Amino acid sequence: MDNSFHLGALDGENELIQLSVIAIDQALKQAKLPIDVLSKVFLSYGTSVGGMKNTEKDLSIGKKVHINNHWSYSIDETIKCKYQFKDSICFTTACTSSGNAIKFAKEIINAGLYDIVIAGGVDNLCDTTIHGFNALGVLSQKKCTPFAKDRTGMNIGEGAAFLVIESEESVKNRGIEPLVELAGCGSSSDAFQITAPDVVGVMSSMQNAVIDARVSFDKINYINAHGTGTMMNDKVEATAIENLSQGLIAFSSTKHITGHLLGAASAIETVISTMCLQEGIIPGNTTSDTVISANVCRVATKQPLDYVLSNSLAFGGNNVSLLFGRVK
Amino acid sequence: MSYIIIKNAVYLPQICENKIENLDEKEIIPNAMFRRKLTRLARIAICITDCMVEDKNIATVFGTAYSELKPACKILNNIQLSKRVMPIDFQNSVHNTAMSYSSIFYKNKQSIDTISCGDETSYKALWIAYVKLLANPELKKILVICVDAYDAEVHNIFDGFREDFCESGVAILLEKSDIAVSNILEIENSKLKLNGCLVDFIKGKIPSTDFMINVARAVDNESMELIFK
Repeated sequence: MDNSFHLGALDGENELIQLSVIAIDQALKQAKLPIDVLSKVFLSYGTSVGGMKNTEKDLSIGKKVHINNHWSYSIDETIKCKYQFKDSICFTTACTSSGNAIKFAKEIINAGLYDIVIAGGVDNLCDTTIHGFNALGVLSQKKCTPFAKDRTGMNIGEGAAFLVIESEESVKNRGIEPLVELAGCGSSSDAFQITAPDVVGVMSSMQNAVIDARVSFDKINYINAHGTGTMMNDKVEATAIENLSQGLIAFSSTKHITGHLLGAASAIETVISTMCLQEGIIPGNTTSDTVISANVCRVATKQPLDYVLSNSLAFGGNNVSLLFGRVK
Repeated sequence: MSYIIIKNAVYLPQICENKIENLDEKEIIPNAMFRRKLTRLARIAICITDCMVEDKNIATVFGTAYSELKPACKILNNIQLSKRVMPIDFQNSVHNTAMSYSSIFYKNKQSIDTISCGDETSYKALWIAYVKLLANPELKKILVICVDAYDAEVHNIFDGFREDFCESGVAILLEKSDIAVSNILEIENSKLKLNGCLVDFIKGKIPSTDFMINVARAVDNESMELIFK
């Protein structure tokens, strides 16, 4: 990995910061963002468990944990200082954290307060999430198989993904070619249950994204679903998608490739959605012979795509949908 | 011309006292089964929302610096002792637990953001709400809530706190209006100015909620235009 862009040594940094710096470096490089612009950039950042692994490490050697080291906030403060970004916010809405961070990036640009935002998220594997999801009975012992009839649960992953989100004017002024358009963002609350999603809430989030983008739902070519591989999530989400798309839009989940990155899931699925639009490919869920909906794309399909919608659902019924459009 | 107005602001008696004394949980949350599941943050968030707005189906920004320390500590203790983690502790351990319960209780289906920004949490929560009103023409009002709480049970794992029991909660309702109001509250570099005069900043026991509590004190039941500079 080429880390030439980062502005400080990685040695001794915790994993979350290392993962974030690697992803941010790649994003800045790809966006051809000069270093002297960074002081005008906003960091919109999401994490679910934040510094929990550090807390677990300290406790394992009998050390008390200073609350500031446990804070999710300490990570984005470190990153903000490392790159000398102007300001930052840490969103912590469990598995939609980076989705809300990306949504806020669009809002802060729409409000005219910033031209460039680095948005994304990070989470790493820790005992708390593994034991926690295991307690809920949703972890699979095998590779997860989203939307399969015989699915057995989710796999937890770890990683970071960050994107450079920029106003149209800034893109024009810098003379660069944008990868995709962040066309619309929607969110909703289920007001239903803490750990079980709700069809109406998920539909509302997707509808809000297309309303924000001022496009009709039938313009969407592919939905990158949250698709964790749990019985409950996949059933509810597939029903919500089918209700809105009237069975006409292909969908699949990419969590059988990445695992569920929790707070970083929405960000990495934004990267995947971007690649889908650029390459004109719908990823397939090849992991099972039988799926719960005829619209689950089982085999990767090449076709021109204009709009891709990406869903993220979280504990407490917090839903985020991001709509991406091909740059015309 | 549209103005962003602070319509209502409530804070719990944190600055001068150790304990929130007026939290009438049983009256506000009569369902004992539901109440038993709630974390302390969720109880405070529900109670403070109760006195803030009539229509509780409202876009909300929620801030908490420490988040759900008690369930997190239970999980960490259980892992250390090789005991089974309880599902209720895990589902109650995420930062957005309080607002999740609040949304279920009030059937609030609107967008709810949760942020955690250390001592700057309430400052940034208020700012995010302000930005969201600026950015979304169709969004007419937004509720901002900041809550933090901890007690002696967390001290076997965490330090850096005061030693005593401590909790704090504050809520502010922002609304768009076409009509100007006479009082203006300006915020510049985390400093508060009321009609041009600097407002004395009072520090409480939990820094993360201080900023919004000082805004709530300055507002003092008057409608005020809010300007972030």
